Amino acid sequence: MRPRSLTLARLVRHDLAISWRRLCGFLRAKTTTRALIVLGLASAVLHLAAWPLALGLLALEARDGAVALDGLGFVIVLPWLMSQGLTGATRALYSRGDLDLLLSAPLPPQKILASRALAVGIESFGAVGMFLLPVVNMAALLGGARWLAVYPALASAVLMATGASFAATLGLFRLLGPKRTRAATQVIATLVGAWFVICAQIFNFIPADSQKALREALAHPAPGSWLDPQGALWLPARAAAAEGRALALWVLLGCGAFVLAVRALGPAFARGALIAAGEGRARATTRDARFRCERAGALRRKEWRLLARDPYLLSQILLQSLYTLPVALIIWKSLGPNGSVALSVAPALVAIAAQLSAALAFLAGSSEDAGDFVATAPVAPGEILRRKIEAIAVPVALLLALPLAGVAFAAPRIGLVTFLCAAAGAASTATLNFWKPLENRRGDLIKTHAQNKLVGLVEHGLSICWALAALLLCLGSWMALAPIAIALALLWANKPRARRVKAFAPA
Amino acid sequence: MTEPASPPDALRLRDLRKSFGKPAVDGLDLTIRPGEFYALLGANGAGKTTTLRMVAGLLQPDSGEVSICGIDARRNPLEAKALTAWLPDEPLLYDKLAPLEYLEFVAGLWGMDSDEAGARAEDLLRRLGLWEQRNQRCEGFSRGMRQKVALAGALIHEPRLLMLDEPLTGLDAGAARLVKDMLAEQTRQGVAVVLTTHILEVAEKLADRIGIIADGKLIAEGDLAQLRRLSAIASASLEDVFLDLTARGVAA
Repeated sequence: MRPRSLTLARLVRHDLAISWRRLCGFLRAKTTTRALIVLGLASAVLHLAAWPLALGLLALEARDGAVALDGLGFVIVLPWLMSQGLTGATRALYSRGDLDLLLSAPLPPQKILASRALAVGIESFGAVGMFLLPVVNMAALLGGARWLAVYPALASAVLMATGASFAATLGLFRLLGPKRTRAATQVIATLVGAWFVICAQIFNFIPADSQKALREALAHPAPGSWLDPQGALWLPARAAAAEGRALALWVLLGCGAFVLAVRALGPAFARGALIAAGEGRARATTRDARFRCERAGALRRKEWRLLARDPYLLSQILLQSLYTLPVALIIWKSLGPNGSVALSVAPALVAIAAQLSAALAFLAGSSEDAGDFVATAPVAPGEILRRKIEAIAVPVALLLALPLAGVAFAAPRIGLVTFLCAAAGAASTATLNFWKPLENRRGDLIKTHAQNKLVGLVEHGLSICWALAALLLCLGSWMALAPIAIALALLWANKPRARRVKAFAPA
Repeated sequence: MTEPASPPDALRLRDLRKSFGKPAVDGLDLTIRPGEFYALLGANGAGKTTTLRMVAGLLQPDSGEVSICGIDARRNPLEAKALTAWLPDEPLLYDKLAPLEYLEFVAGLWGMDSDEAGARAEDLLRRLGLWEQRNQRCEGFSRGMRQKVALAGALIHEPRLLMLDEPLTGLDAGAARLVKDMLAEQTRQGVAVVLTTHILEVAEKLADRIGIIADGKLIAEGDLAQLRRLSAIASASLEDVFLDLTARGVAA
């Protein structure tokens, strides 16, 4: 008699238990109670912070109507969900964990995919809902229960985005092969996630006449046009605005798309997971090169090799550049007709240098699989840190050389200030990341790909400080000393205490 | 005419202590001579790995003396590390580096000359049967292959004190024989080898002396004949002796 396999509910429960443990690890909570307390506190803070936002939303709703407002919400949330879904689908396909066990068990592939996709969907719902739902709750409290329709509308959007993400990932897998798909989905997830920021900037810089025409079309859409709120495109917005039929249809569509995706993609997912498992064993080779082990060079070369072979390199570089470049446009615009391009580009270049350096240092730090082994070598920890920073500095300098040269050509003084602040910013964020490495092993990092959020915040603080210092120095203001002092204080506060380096030091 | 001075002990531990809330290593005294093959045995949690990690400079002892080839490792850690190699039970490699690239990095860490290190890297990889895979990334390697790459990394800088934590785990019979032969060759060249293992047969066959550690203390030490006398079980195997001594907690 054929044994009965696990039910889908049991599989999902298993996946959720793993996700929960990962979340506890991320929160550094050793017990479930402690994790719940941390989450409760975070939720209370987010609800308090959401209060003024909810008031603002209610005012906007009164002016523009609920459908227009929710439409704008979906323009932001859907790409965010797609970005989350693409990252989750890639992780589900490539991370091994218990996938080998499930694939070797007598389970239909649809069931395995359904459990993995549901877990990804629930994680996406949690990630987006953590910020969105406190605002919704507050708006419901202040403006009425109709806001609670956002819950099922969001859940349906999550199901649809997750199904689409798995379809896109498996499509790319078939098109590009296992080697390139991971990098490609990371890049696409970054671009999709950043698209709202990019679109907002494009809107800011299109001619005033075109802006006016677009606003007019949004305010008074022609019936039957794509901006008409009664059109199919606006279905999710009408669902979130608690229109009964639209909500029912949207939920039906979301569930249907998810079930269809799981049924159609199950075998492709199982095949893909097996091929992805083999990819790790397909041995990438290098060519014979001269054996050079002069210490400084050997330490730097090892970092470059690890960076160049990191599947997250491209997406990290893109992410930092995409989110920082609009800063230049904003400063350029805010300086008005008297503003120079060099002056407006300077702080953005400094911020990019700092962020890029931080991203590379994060990757280098997280790929340090043999930290204990390095610690047994007769090399002072200070030298190892110095060589790592040098290794990071070279690609950052190469990427920024051309724009820096352009700034220096247009305004030599601004060029010099930009160069100095960029170097200081890059060195400080790289040092921070090496001082505060992730405790996870590389394998775990690929599963979570999560940086320590506190380190991320300090890193952004340092970037902003050095960018502000560059702007103020370019403007000739002594006020520049204030952000420099803050940056140095931030760095000092994060310096590792003696306990960590004690094992290296003489007693 | 005066006698030539005998070389200093390869490893000398005196009253070494380390506590993690409760004592992990509790006043350990140990002396290992150059060219000696020493097997350190003990049950799980007895303090073997903590001891080796302190000698390797990865843990700061609470108190006590660690001397490597006459160098006070607590006062001059870099000089002591230059003479030491540590091979943990889980090979510490970079998945994205090929064996030759890994050895280049290790040789750089120990400040070796490029020509000399290059030749030694080739010799080690050939002897360990990894020359064909020298340019393949370690991410696809089996456990045994990873263990062999790590061993090459430990041997490339010609250490005077070699510490190995369960070095034969994951190796097939042929590879295990090869590694044992290489370790024996090291001792003939004057290198002191300290090995921890749960495969008592390995200790029985290879070790000049065996130390048994329990609760962070050395409870018995000597060659197999001496340990048999301590255990008072006539013609017992090392396994019988080990189980008897650890059960009784005999003091050497």
